[in-house]
Amino acid sequence: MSMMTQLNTQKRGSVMIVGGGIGGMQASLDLADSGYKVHIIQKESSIGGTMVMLDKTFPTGDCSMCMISPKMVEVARHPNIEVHTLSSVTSVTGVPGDFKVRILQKPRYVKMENCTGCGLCEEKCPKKTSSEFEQNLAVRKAIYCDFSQAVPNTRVIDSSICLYLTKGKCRICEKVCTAKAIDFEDKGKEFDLDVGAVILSPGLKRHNPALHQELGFGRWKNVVTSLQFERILSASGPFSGEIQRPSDKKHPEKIAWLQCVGSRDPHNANPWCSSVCCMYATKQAVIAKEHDKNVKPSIFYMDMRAFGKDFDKYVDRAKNEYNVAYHRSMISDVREDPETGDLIVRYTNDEGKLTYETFDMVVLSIGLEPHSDVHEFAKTFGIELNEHGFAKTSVFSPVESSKEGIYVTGTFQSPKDIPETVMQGSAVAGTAMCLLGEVRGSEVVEPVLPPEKDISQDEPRIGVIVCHCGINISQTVDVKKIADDAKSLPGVTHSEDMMYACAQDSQDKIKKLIQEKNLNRIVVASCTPRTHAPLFQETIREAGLNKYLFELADIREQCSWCHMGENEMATKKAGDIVRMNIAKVNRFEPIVTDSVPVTPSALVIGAGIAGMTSALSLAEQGFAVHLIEKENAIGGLLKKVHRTIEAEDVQDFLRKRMYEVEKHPKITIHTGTTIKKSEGFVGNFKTTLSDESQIEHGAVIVATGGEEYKPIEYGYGENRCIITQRDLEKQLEDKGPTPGSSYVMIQCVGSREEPTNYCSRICCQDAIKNAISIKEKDPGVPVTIIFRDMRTYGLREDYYRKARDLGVMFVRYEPDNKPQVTPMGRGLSITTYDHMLRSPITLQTDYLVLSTGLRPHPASEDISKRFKLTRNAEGFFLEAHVKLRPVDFPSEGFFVAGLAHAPKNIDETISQALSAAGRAGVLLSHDRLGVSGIISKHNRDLCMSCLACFRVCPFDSPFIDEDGKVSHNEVKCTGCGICSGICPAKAFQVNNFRDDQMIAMIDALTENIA
Amino acid sequence: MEVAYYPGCSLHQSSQFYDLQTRRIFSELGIVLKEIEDWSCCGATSAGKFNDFLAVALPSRNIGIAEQAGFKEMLIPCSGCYSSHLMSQTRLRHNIPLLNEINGELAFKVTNTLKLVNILELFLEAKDNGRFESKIVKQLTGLKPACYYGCMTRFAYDVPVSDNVENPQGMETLLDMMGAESRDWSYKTACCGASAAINDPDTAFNLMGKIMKNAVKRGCNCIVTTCPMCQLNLDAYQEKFCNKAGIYERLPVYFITELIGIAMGISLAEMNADRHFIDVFGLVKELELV
Repeated sequence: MSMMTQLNTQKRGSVMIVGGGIGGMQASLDLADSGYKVHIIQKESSIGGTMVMLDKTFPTGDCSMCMISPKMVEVARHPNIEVHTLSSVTSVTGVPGDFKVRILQKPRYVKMENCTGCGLCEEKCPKKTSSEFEQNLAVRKAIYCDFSQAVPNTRVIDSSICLYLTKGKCRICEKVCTAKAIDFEDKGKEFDLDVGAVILSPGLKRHNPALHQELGFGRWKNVVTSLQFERILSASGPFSGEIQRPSDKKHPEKIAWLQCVGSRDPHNANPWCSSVCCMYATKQAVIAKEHDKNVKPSIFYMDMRAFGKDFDKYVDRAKNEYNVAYHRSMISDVREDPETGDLIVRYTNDEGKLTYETFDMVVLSIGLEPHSDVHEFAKTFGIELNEHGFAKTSVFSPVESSKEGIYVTGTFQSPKDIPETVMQGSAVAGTAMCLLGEVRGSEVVEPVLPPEKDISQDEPRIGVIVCHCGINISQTVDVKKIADDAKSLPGVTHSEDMMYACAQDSQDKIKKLIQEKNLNRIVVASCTPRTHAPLFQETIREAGLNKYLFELADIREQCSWCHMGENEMATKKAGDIVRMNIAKVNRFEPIVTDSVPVTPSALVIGAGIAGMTSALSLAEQGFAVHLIEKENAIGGLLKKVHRTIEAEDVQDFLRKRMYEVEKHPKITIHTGTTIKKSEGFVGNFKTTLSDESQIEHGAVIVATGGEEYKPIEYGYGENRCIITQRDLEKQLEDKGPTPGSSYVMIQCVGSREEPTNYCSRICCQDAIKNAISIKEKDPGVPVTIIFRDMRTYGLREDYYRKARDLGVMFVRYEPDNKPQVTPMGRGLSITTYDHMLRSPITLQTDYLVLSTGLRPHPASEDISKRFKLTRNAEGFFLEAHVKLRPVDFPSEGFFVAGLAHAPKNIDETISQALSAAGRAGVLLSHDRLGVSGIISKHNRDLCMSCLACFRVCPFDSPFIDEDGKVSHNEVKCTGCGICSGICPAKAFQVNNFRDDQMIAMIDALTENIA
Repeated sequence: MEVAYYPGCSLHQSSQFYDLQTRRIFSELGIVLKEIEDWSCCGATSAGKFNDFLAVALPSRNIGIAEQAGFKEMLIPCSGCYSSHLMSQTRLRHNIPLLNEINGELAFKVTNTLKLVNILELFLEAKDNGRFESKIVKQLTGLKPACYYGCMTRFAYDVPVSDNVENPQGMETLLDMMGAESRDWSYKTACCGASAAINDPDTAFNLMGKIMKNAVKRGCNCIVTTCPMCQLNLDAYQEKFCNKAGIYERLPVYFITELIGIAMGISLAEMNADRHFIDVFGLVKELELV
C-alpha cells in the first residue's frame, strides 16, 4: 500500500453537526458520549431550534423548555462538544472519513469569554425591533438574547439595527458593561475544521400564512399562527402565559384552529402533509383550556391524522374530557367584524348545513417546510434534494444523503414530530459511528475534574437556591419569602432566589457561590429531581463537591402545579418542603461510587427488519452481536411484503439485508432459539438460550416485532371474495388485478376501536399502495376505499393524491355506522352511508379487501415479564420518555425498536432500529460504567439473614453468600428501597434516604405543630 | 398609444356612463381606445352553462377580430367580459385541436398574440409609466372607499390573473395615490349575487347586505368597483337589501373611473354620474372634492 493511499484512508474521530435543534443535539450528545469530538454549527446565536419556542408538549403537558433546557446545558458543558454559533458552512472538500470544512462565523460583537450574561446592556439599549423569537408579538433590543435559557448565554448585537453600527452613535452597551464584553471591532472569522463525517440537521421553516390572504393573517389582528399561539401560551412569552388576543388583550373564549394551512394544497402551497399539526392543534386546545377553563376550542380539519403511538387516545380525551369541538370542514375565508375584532368562520356542519360561527380568535395551523437554506446546502455539500426540497433519502436508508459520509436527520429528511426527530438524531449518530467505528476516542479529551474537597471535619454550610421556573413556581409560591426564610435555618450559610436555576449562567453562579462562601452542601428548590438533579449534581462536582451533597426540593410538581391559585397555602407548603430538605441535607455525607466493566456486545431479540438493522449497525460500529430469533429463519413480518408505497422492491432489500447480517463476522445468529434465563445488569448481562449456549452482553435490544391482525369482522374467512391487503398484495404481485373485476377496501378493521383503540399507521399506505398498483396495471378496474380518516401523513400525501388522480374512489364512514357486507351470487354487495350525498350507497364488488391492523407479537409478553419491561394497555413496550427518550427503556441497558414499540412503516422501523443501535453503541463504547450512588447499603453486622430482602427485591441484588448468609450485590441495586423498608433489623439503609435523614425531615415538618 | 377596446353589452346598455367615463379618462391619459369592429357577445356565464364549446368560441371571435386588426392589447372594462375572454384565450393556448377547430370557422383567426387587460391593469400600467403625473389636480382627501372587486376578475382559478387573488390591491393603490384612505375589509371578493338578484332576490340581497354591513362598520363612506354587474346590484337594490338587513346607512357606489375623474378635475355631471340610483354627488360635495 502506498503512502498516499494510507493518508487517504486515515479517518478522523470527529463529526460536524449542522443545526443544533433537538435532533442535532441528540446526535451530538450520543456521539460525544461515545468518544467522538463534535462540532455543532449553528446559524443562530443560540442552539435549541424550534422546540425552545414551544410552550408544552403532549400527552403529558410537560413544559417544552424544561425538557430541552437541561439538554442544552448538557451540550454546552460537554467536554467533547464545541458549539460554533452565528456560523455557516461555505465549502466542503475531502472524502468520507476525512472532510475539510470551511466555516464562516459572523461577528457577535460580544466577547463570550468576558460576558456574564447579566443583561444590563440589553436593559439599557435604546434601539428596539420586533422579536423574531416571540413571533413579532413582542419587541427586543438591538443587543439581545432570544430567550433566557439560551446556550451560550451571551448576548448578540443585531448589526442591522444597532445605532452605533448603523449610524456611528450610541455605544451605551459598552459603557454599562462592567465585564468589558462589548467588542465593536469584532469582524467575525473564517476557519477550517477537519471532521470524519457531517450530519445535516437544519430543521424546518414554517409556512408563511400571509400567502393565504383569505384567512386574514396580517389583516385581522386576532388571526395568529400556531407558533404565535405557543408563545401566547408560554409562561415566558409575550403575555406571560395568560391567554390574550392581540387586538385588545381580551381573554378569548371561542378559539378556532384551522388545519392544513399551507399543507395538502398543491395549488396554493405545499402538497405534503406536515405530520404534526393535527396533534399540536389538539394539544394547544387542551392546554388553552387548562390555562383558562372558559376557553371553548374548535378545530376545523380534513382528516384527523393522529397516527402516532397513543395519539388517538389523546384526541379522544380532548373531545370527551376537554370538550374540544372537531369539525370536519376546510375553511375558505375568515372575515372580521370590524367593531369587535371577532372573526367569522363559515363552514359546513355535521348536518351538511352552511354555518356562520363567530370566534374571538383564530389560530392558523401552519405547516412545515424544508429549511430556507436547503438549496444552498445541496450545493455546498453536494447532496441531492427530492422534488419538494427535502433531502433525498431512500426508504431503506433514511438518514443517508446521496453522498457518502454526509448524513441527514430530522425535518430535513421529512416533516416529523419531536420524538421522531430525537429518534432519528440517535439513528444518524449510530450511522456515523458505523463509518468511524475504528477511530472512536481518537480526538476526545477526558474531562478533568477538580479533586473532591474533604468536608468530613466541617460543619454543614448549606447553600439554598429557590427557583422561579419562569412563572411556573413564582406565580403560586412566594419564592423570595421562601429564600429569605431559609436563611435562618440550621446549617444554612446562603440562600437566594433565581429566575431559572437550570440556566447556564445560574450554574456558573452556583459554582461561584460554592467557592466564595465555602459551601459544602446545596439544596435547590425547583421543578423535579427527575430531570434536573443530575444537572445540579454535575455543577457542584465541578466546583469540587461530592455530587451526592445535593438535594432537590420539589416545589413545582409537588406544590405550585398542584396548588395553583392557592398562593398562601402553597407558599407555606413550599416552605415546609424546603425546611425538610435542609434538615435532611444537614446529615448528608459524601458517597464514594464504584464502577463496573462493560461487556462490549449486544443481545438483539428478534430478527425481523428492526432486529437485523440494529444488529448490523452495532456490528459495523465494532461490537459483537447475538441476534436471536424464535422462528427457524430470520426475516420477520417483511417476508410477506413486496413493495413499499414508493414502489421500492422490499424483497430485494430484505434478501440483501439478510445476506449482510448472515455473513457479518461480528454477528452470531441463533434461529429457532428463545431465552431460557437471563441475569445481570446494565453492561454485564449473562443470558442462557434455549439451546443451552451462554452469552455475555452489555446491552439488550428488544425487537420482538408484531403480527398482522386476523380479522373476525365483515365475514372474513366465510367468503373467498373477502381478503386482506396482504392477500391482495400477493395477488397483484403474482398475477395483477383480475380483469373485469372490482375492488372495495375497508380501513381500520380491528384498529381505532376498543379494545384496540390505536391507529395501526400502515394500513392507509397499504390500501393506497395496492389501489395504485391495480390502477396502474388496469385503469378500468374500479377501486373504492371506505375509510375513517386517510392518514397518508408526511410525503406519503403524494400517493393519496396520485390514487385520486388515477380514479380511486374514497368514501368515508363513521365507526358507529359501519359498511354492511352482503354476499351475492357472484361477488358482494356493500352498503355504506355517504357523507357527501347524505344517503346510503350500495357498491357491487368482486373483492372486499380488509385493511387489518397490527398487533404486538405474543412473545413480547414473555420478554416483558422476563426483563421487567412495561408495556402499554395494548401490549406495546413503553419507552422511558415519549418525547426525549423514544428508544430507551427506563431500565438501563435496554432499548426498543420496531413494531415492538408501536405500529410503524418500514422506513420508520429502520430509523428506530438505527436509533436503538446508536443508543446501545453509546453504552457499549464505555470500558466501565459508573454505579449510582443512590443504592441500598447492607450492614452485615446487623443482618440476621432472615431473607425478607431476598424474597422482595425485584432486581435480585441481595443473595445468599458462600457462608450461607445474605450479601448484597450493589451493582444490581437501583436504590428502590424495598429492602430497607422490609428489613426488620434495619440492616439496609439507602444512601441519602437513611432512617436518620428521614426522621430529621419528619421532625422538621412537625416541629411547629403543637 | 392605441389599445383595442371591447365594451361588451353592459357598457353599451345599462352602464353606458361607464363606457363614456372609460373613454374619457383614458384619452386624458393619452391612451386611445379603439373599439373593435363588429364585436359580439362574450357569452357571459350563460354560455358555459349551455355549451362548453360556445363558451370558448364566442369570445374567441372578438379576440380574432382584435388580433387581425393588428392590436397587441385589448381593454375589457367589464369583469364578466374580461373573465370570459381570458378563460377562452387560456383554453385555446393549451388546446391546439380546439384552436384549429374554432379557427376553421372564423373569418378572423385567433393567433394567440393578444394581451387581454382589465381596467385596473391598464390604469396601473399608466401609473407606472408616469401618465398620471400632472393630471391629478384634486386630492381625494376624506374619501374612505371600500374597494369592491367582486368575483369575476379572479374567477377561473387555473387562469392566472394579475393582483392578489384573495386580497387584490389595484384599486387601493390607485386611489391612495390620489389621497384617498382606503380601508381593508372582509368582503372585497365576495359574491354580489349577480343575476340571482332577479331570479332569487332573497339570496342575493342577503349577500349584498353582508357586503354593505362590513363596509359601513369599517367606517367607509363609499363603495368603489370596476364591475358593471356589481355596481348595478349594489346601487339599484341598495334600498331593498339595506331595509331587509336593517342597515340605516346608504353608501354611494362609484365606478373607479368616477373617482379618478374627480381627482383629474372632471365634473361628475360631465361623466353622466346622475345615472346612479344612490346619490353620488352629496359625498364629494361634503368632502369638498368638487
